[in-house]
Amino acid sequence: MKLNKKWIIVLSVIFITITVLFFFNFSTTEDENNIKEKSENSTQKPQAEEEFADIKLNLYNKDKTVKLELSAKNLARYEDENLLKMNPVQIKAYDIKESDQSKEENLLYTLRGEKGNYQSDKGLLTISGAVTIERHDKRFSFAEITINEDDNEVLATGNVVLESKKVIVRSDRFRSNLALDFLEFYGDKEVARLSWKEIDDSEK
Amino acid sequence: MIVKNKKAIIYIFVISLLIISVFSTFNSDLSRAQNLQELSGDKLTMEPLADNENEYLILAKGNALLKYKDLTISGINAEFNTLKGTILFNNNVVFKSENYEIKGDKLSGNIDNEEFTVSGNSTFISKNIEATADEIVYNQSAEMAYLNGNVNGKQNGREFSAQKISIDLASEKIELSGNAKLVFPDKGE
Repeated sequence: MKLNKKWIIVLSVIFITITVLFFFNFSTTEDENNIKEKSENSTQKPQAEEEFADIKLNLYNKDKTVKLELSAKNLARYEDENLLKMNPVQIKAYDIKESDQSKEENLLYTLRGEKGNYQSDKGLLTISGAVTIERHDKRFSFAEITINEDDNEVLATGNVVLESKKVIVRSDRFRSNLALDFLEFYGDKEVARLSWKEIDDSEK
Repeated sequence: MIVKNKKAIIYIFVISLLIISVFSTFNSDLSRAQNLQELSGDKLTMEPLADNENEYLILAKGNALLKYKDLTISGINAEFNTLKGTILFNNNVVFKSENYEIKGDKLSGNIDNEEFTVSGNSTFISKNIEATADEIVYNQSAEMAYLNGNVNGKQNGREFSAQKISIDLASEKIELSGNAKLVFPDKGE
């Protein structure tokens, strides 16, 4: 009888130990699986809902005085993020003059860039990768530009250069409105510099 | 014959006038472009001037500096109208050349006629002359500086005061006018 009690205690201890070990092991593998699943999910790129080729879009500023005619060779639409991804991108900006009888559109500038992201819910268009703007005899270049439709604002960053026949301007940042009515150059690391070009003898 | 000659002379005169006016504009643009070197600042704003895409009102805010010929003009803020050639500098203005320096609160002038006026706590400093005045007019082509109103200063130890003085910048000769006083060291007035 005494022996039986001892055996019962020993068996109980063994049972509890096995149960604890089993649960501990199970929860650890479950955590590992969760981590694996999570990491797999995080590396997985969201799939584009739709993909298009040679697409054209028209965007406007709030008061509809400037039209941006955007064209891209490739466009992918991500509905969850309200995002359009494009490459390469070209934008022709037009000044719109509208009266009761007529509507006139004049080309303001042409913008080109390697990649573009358009967040439709925020009205934000970001163009990056050797971005250029050509306007009459002027040429702007920079690393990235963000166009804010609602605020009627463009902000460019990264090696900002403006070159015309007479001058070259270099700065860290550039700001203007969609029509580029004014040009603001900011020097963050160094001052913004406007240099007059030297006229060589052949032009004299 | 005389009538024909008259007509020909009028034609030649009109054509010459046209050629001269075209060339003078071109030369003015050319010489300005060669003299102007750089305008810098923490922020540069370029606003196109009435229907002219290539002419701007340029505003420099913070650490404004203009390099022009062998001169530099610095101030906190600056304005430059590229069409008219007018410049305006404000706050802690320093006009510097190799041989002299003019300081003041404000500088205004024109790049094309090479005349600049410094006003407000204005000071002229060269190797031998140091003087203060209400305003200092600097004419680059004439190589002259004109100090106007309450002029006080000294040249090689000699103190002077007057209502106006002119300084020949090449020879450093000065001319005093209006309540002029000159004090020689140890000799009195």
